[in-house]
Amino acid sequence: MSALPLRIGIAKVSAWAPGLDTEESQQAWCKAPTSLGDGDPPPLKFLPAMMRRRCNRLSRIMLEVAHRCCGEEQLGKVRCVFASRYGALGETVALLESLAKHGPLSPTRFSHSVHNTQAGLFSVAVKNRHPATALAAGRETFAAGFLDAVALLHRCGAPVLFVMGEEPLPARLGKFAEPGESYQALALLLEPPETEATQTVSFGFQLVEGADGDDTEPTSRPWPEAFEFLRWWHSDEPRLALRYPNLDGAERIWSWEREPTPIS
Amino acid sequence: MGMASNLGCAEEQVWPRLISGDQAHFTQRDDLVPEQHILMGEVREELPALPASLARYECRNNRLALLALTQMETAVREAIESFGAERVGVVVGSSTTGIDEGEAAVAAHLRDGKLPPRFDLVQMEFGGLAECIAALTGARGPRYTLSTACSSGAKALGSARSLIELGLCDAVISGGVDSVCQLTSNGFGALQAIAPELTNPMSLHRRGLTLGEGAALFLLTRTPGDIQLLGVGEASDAYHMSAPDPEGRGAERAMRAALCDAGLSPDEIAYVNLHGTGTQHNDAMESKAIQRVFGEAPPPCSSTKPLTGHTLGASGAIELGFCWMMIRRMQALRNEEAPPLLALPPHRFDGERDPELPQLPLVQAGAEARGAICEPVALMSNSFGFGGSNCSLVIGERRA
Repeated sequence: MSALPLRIGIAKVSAWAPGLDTEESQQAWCKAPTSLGDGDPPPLKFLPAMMRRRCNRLSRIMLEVAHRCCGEEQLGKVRCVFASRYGALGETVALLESLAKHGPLSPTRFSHSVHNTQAGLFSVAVKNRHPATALAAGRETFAAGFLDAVALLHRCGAPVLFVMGEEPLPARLGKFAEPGESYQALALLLEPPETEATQTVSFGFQLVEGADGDDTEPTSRPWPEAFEFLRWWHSDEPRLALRYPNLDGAERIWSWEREPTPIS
Repeated sequence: MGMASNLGCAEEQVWPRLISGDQAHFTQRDDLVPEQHILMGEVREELPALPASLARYECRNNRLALLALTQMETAVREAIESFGAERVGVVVGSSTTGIDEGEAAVAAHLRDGKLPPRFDLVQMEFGGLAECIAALTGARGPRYTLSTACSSGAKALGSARSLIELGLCDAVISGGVDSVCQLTSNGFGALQAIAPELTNPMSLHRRGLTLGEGAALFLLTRTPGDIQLLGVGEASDAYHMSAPDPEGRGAERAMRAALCDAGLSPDEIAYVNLHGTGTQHNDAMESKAIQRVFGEAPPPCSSTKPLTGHTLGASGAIELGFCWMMIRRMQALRNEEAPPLLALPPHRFDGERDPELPQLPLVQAGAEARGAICEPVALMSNSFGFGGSNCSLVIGERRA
């Protein structure tokens, strides 16, 4: 049983958003963050054309960052956790529209509308036979996905790839959109703490009673959790805290704290 | 454990139906797929409404979860009292959530240009299921929903156990919930995966699956109980999005990993609950995988999907629930004089084996495993899903 907080090594962080395709542009964004725009998905050159055609917009960005985050040798070896709050909701709504009109359902579109579509596509594309999971947790999806990846790392001691991706809600469900939701993806390669060439980070969860005022209001941050993590990663702030209200008024706090790199 | 399926909820109601292989609990639905009748293993009980404070979560799926939760209310409350609410998490699996509400909402929007007032996205969002269960029980620890198609419920149990091992939770409410909807009925229909009559797994004449719905939720705790989740094994096929590896190598890896995790050899497993969906592909690959893992003398096997239908994201949890009941019943009957009596759910099919498949020892009605069972008893339950997601669970009596 490991003592809290949980310690992991982060070996690599890869991100993608329209217009923020390179390390340089991402680091520049981190210094002056703004809301993220829309744009075309990445070309996904590493996939054969036939597989690429099967990838919808969300699959493209999640597979792109997954591929960037792993070295060639690691691609087939990592265990994976794919997280997305809404996942294939766009696809699903399109299927529901077909149903409402009593039209035929495309079997391929149906089998690609499951929440673990990206996990499945990735495993087929890189011939990865290790376990892969897909999950969601509302606003806390990023933190919950990170947690499941840490649990997996703890369990098997082998590198774990955590991929978070999102696209905005389809127009029909636009009234439920929350600030910061945008088309982007982030991947992290997690290793045991103190592995060479990683940054060791302490990860924690706590509940704080009766916090009042602004802290318990849903965030109005104009960029998503994944990019808030990216911003923190490229900053020199020692700690990142993501806060969410619990229904009973308590505050749920997920935190990441950089440990100083030991001097060798 | 709390459960709801077409076989009922209370153990007293479900057990006789399970063990006699009762196939009388399917409804014919002609409102799901245009111009077609399809059989559905529906939960017939009246579902409890959610409390008014959670009205935005109202949907069939969350009501099924509540129905299962009410059966374990005391255990959950005691866990919260002894461990603290922030140490109790929720990790559940689903492939549908409240999609039926989404179906109605999209249809209304197409027709009238606006969404129905009682529709809320949280009904259709996967995360909504875990949130709702947390809100219903007062659990305040980490909560999330896994969605990996047919392996969702099984994998959720694996993740739940990992959270306890990690030291972040002392108890986790875990399992799977899925409900009837047009999307899965039409989607599997479009894949030509639905059998024209009742599913007929392992038969020469098998033509696909029959759908079902339900929920099974467990309370996993740090303190070992009489029945334990002994092993979890997972693997990906890396083969195809909607067809399994025909050789069943992913399924094999998952089963071997579960046995290894449990520290058991194949001959210590007294029964396997097959994924056994009745499709050409699944039954073929699962038979081959089982033969490779268990060798010359596999344990008695059955698929319970001819009784419940394929409950998709809930199936891993519901079928583990059946294994749980089997062990409980055996424990209740145990005495020093006679060898242990493990009653087994029969494998219902037309009796015509497929000669191309390795011939598994399928349970016949009235069969019991007696005497030769290894004690402490351990059972295995398989769940293999879309995208090549494989999960095998081993459940058994507490080991010293």
